[in-house]
Amino acid sequence: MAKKQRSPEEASQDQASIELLQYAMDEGYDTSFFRADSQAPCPIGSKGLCCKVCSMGPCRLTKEDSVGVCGATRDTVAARNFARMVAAGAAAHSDHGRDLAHTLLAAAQGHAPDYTIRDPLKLREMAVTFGIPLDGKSVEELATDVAKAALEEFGKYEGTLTYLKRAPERRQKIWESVKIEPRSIDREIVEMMHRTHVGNDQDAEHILDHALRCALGDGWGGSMLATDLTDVLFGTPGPVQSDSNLGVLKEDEVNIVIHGHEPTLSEMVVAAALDPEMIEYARSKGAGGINMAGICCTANETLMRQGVPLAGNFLQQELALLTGSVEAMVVDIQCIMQGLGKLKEHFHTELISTSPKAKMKGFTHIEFDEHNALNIAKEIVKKAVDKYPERGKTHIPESDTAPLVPGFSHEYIQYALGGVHRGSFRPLNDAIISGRIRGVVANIGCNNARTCHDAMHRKVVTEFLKNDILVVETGCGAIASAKQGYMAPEAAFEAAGPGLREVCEAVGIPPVLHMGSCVDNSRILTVLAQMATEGGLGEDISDIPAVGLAPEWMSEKAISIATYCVASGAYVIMGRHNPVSGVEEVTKIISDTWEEKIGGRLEFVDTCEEIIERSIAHIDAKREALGLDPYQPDKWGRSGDARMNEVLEKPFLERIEAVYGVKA
Amino acid sequence: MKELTLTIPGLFADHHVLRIRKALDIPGIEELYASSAWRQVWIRYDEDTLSEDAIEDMFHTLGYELDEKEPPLLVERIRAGRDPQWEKLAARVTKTNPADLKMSGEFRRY
Repeated sequence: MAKKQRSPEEASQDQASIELLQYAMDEGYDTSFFRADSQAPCPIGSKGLCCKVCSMGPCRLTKEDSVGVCGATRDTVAARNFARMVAAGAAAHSDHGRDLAHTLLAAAQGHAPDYTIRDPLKLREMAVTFGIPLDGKSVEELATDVAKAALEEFGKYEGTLTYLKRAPERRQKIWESVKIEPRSIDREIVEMMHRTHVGNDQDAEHILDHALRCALGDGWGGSMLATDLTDVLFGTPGPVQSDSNLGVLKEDEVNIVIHGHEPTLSEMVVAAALDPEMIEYARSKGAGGINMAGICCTANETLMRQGVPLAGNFLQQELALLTGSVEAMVVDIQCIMQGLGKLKEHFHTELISTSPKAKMKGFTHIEFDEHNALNIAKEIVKKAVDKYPERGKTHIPESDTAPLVPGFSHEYIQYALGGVHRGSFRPLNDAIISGRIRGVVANIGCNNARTCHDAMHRKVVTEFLKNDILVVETGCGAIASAKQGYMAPEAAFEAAGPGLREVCEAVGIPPVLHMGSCVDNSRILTVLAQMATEGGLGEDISDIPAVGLAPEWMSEKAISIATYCVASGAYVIMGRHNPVSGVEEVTKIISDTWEEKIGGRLEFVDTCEEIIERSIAHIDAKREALGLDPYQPDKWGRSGDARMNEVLEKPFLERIEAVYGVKA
Repeated sequence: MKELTLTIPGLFADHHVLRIRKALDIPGIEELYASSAWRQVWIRYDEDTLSEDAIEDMFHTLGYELDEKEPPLLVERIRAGRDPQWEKLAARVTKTNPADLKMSGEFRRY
């Protein structure tokens, strides 16, 4: 039954999106927001009770004692459905990683002349992890060895994943004892699909054990490799200034929006858009220049390294088209809505698909090939410029854009905390031990058209900051906080509790740290591993007062991320929809049983209030288990620049006394 | 007695403080506090002996410009878009080295 259509204010909390949703309603343009309102989710599939792994079905297991034609019980079916989501998500991240390994190999061997190794230091770090000797090798030789070693991780026939050794020793022992160390990235995904074939693995807990193993192959394999290889090719991110929300689109310039996930193409499009020849070509068409902006995780990749502004997150991709100001939207893989092709019929925008893995209706396909990257990127930019004269009336939102400072790779955080010679995570651990920082929340994941856009991200992050909880983010959750203004360092003065504010001021960081795209959740694993190794907060990731969240999740990748975080020892809360809600036994396995077995647990929670309450309770319980002092909100906050502003306003003699504690 | 606070951008080091203290050790100046941190001088003086203009002239003679503005911020905002040191670092660390923890001794032990 069709539901009532939400008003723009009910559909989104982002002001720019509200403006465009109103415009879409007035003009009758279809968007994901309206489609979500017009169709209810399948009541059987949404609870994990639909089995369609063979042609005797699909079987709908709607009653307590229902079984499929083959006799499959509800717990088996729900576990299989969940496990297949993990496999699909792990496949998406890992295939992304594999492509980057191929690009590095091609670049190292001289077959991809437009790519260089921008971060040889990171290359050396990878080589050390793989145990590749460094002696006397040129950068290209080393890159060849590293790329080949990375590619071997996908299909090696013996041993386990090399990157597992980046985890704390205690965690590695848990994986070994539970027998969930991934052997190779592809193997665990293939085995997951095999196990969930009709008439195969039928024990729900056993199926889900392998889901943990498969997901670990993503987190400590495919995703971690994708992050590292991207850093080698395009530079390890450090802080950079940028801007966010749809207002970054420009009235008088050719707007090119890059959307998707892999940075190989988008980095080249950014380079092509900076080419003086291209800029001159844009001017010849009457434009003031070429403006790049990003949507989704391609946005995060180019933002982190090049400072390319964020146009918006997942639910804003169609809204970008509605502005009428986008000459071209260039996409590669993942999270690209099929609705774009139809919506485009009303606008001059050229939609360009580029991946050999993804063709789309209504898109012009210009297949990307890393061997001829820059020329293809120039062809794309030229096509965009050619569209500029066709631009009609524009509707770029008038609401303000939000400045931000992203670029917090784990390497940079370590450097920021201790400098060149004393870089370590000790200051972060110290801040948690002293109670200036109550704990850490990783707020990640997607947008979901069935919830109010950005609303949950905004609410939970606001509350965590008030409670002196440091927030780290990736993906579309990060874009939500960027638009909210929480990724500017000044936000610490307004939004953070007194203890967190002091830390942000001392280090010079925003209270919410942008750590990258969704494959870069591996950076969060690395930070947690280093915090555990540093000492003072236990010996394992599960000891740290930290929580992982994906309040507006929607994709299979989010399920894979959640599962590898749980397998790494984290407490993870996903918002709103439990995909196995129809079977209590399976919900219990992914929470209680997993916690007993590996120290992490996965929960699905409907409301922001409940998410906040459970997260803070978990953080406080972990603090207590570590023997740390209970968090006191008014213990800290008497130092820092904010206090200095008060001091500066005092007359000279009072100021001297306030600062030095004695009369002048 | 009158009080006067002057902002002096050129007063940024201890030797400036010493120089000002020495030069203004004259009849009429009852009390003086010069701060290189704040780049300001506070003076209590006898208005029958000295005028504000005369005191300001003394600073001009010493070579210090006076500024009407508020005291300067202690740390000025860096305009560069990126941390210039980041590209120059010698390493990218992805794993805490246990040898580092050991070698640091008590300093890093919890």
